[in-house]
Amino acid sequence: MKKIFFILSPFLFFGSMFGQDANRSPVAIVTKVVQVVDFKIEENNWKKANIGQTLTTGNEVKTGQRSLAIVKFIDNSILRIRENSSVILFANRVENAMLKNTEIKNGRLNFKISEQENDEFRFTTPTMVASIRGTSGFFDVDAEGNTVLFVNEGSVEVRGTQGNQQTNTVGAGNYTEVTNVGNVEVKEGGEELQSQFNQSNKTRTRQIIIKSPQGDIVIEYLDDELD
Amino acid sequence: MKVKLIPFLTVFFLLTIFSYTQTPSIRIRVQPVMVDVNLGGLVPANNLLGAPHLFTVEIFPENIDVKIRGNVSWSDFGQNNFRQVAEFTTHVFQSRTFSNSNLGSDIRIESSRTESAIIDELMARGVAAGTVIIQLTLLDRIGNSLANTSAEVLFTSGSQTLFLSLQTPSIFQNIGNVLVSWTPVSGATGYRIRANKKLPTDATLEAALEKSGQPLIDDADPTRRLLATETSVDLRNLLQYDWSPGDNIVAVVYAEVEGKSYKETKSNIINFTIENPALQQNIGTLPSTLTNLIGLMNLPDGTGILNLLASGDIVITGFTNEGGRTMSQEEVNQILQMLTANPALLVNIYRR
Repeated sequence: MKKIFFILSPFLFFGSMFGQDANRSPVAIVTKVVQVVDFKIEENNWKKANIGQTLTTGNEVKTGQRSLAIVKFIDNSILRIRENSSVILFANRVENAMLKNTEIKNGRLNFKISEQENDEFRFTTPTMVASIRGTSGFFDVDAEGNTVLFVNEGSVEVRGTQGNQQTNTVGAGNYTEVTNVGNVEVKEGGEELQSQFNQSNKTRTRQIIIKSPQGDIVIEYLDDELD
Repeated sequence: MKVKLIPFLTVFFLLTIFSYTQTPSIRIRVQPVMVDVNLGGLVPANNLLGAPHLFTVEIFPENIDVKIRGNVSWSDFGQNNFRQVAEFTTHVFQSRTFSNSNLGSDIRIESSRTESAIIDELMARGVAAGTVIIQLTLLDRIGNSLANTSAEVLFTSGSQTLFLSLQTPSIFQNIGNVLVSWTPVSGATGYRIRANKKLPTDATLEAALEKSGQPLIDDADPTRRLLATETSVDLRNLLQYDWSPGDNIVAVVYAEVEGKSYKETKSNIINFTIENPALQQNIGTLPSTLTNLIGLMNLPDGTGILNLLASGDIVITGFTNEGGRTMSQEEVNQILQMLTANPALLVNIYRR
């Protein structure tokens, strides 16, 4: 069933694009939902997100406690939106290029961005803008907008959007923490951030079932996806 | 004359431009701690009369068409488990500084939703107690968000200055001793403790504590009265009836203050289960590991699972994974240890 869905998903995208305003065309699809995931089309109109839900530019996705959403873009780029997070997806076609911008309001987001060729993939947080061509890593945005970006593969161009508005490039294994001061200092990630990245990659829901005549106890947890 | 008018008109023009381009803002002014307050003022409703003044809302600039969306959530005293009490949206009104008591009177409520179970629970306590977070979003007349603000307020009653806690903070307590301690109350002449068994039929901790019959520790018994200098005790030493492994217990402490009935100064209620050593021998460290995991999560069914584990009646017949593959206890323990070290990977624990 899962395989059929993934085979069909490109057709779902393009099929629903015909006859629609370009800005209202689907840009991404929800491919996994764990626990509480909602999306917002317009102000005050939150709806429960289900697998297969198409998302258009301007849609916001938020996850609840111990929840997870995986969003897949048309170019196969993947966002793993971890618990208690909120992101808004934007995509605009400019001539032949697609400019994608994901605004992370708060929380943790693991990304795996496909090679962009002519397109551009940006992430915006309250304190930084990151331009990505093809790489993986994660963002962690706290309630004040302070942002940690860890890059696992490739490199990411970062610009502080407040204060000093410094720019820098964060390479594989490195991270930066950008606050409202606007400095972009690159540091080595080390084992701790690598471990956090590995955790943020885990999206496979698994169970331990403790069998008992009085009722089974089910423990659900996240593990690595099967290759 | 014309020359004199030019600076005046320039200033007037600039002020006019400024007033139109001023960024809308909203702020709550509230006392961080409130004592003996009725919760009614936090749940706005049209035509609700006599709501007490609890907070002031300032909106700038004034005299523009706005709406407010509000969200009130509450967590019990000493806990950090916020639950939504009410949410509401007003009709359009002219921005200004106003009191919460204006909500529902001259500022009309367009829509609201309340969690009646929580309201009932709070009302049953008489006065609001715990931490309340008020979040307000300023909206334009068509509902676009302009600004937001929030405030956290600690609501206390006379009783809430008295905080009871277990010295070993675990849901499971040793059958031989359960040490509790409490914050001293200024002017107290003594303390009294009440403890009771909580049965599955008791709807709330309060109901379990106050039910008639023979409590495990009777607060009305003068032989169980504690001196004003005492701020901790082993509940085991005060028991009038014994408890058994698996029993779920609730307890409270009252402070005797001159001129008041001792029941007026009451602590929070603590809840724990008497552990069953025999069970723990059978299934090793599983209950304590599961207890830790459940403690890391805010689970609706957490207490039910803990009670099941602690009851001593549970028979574990095996472990499987999601595909039905049999798992060894060692394999299960390894995964549970990994989850204890990485609790962010836990999704849920439930009974079925």
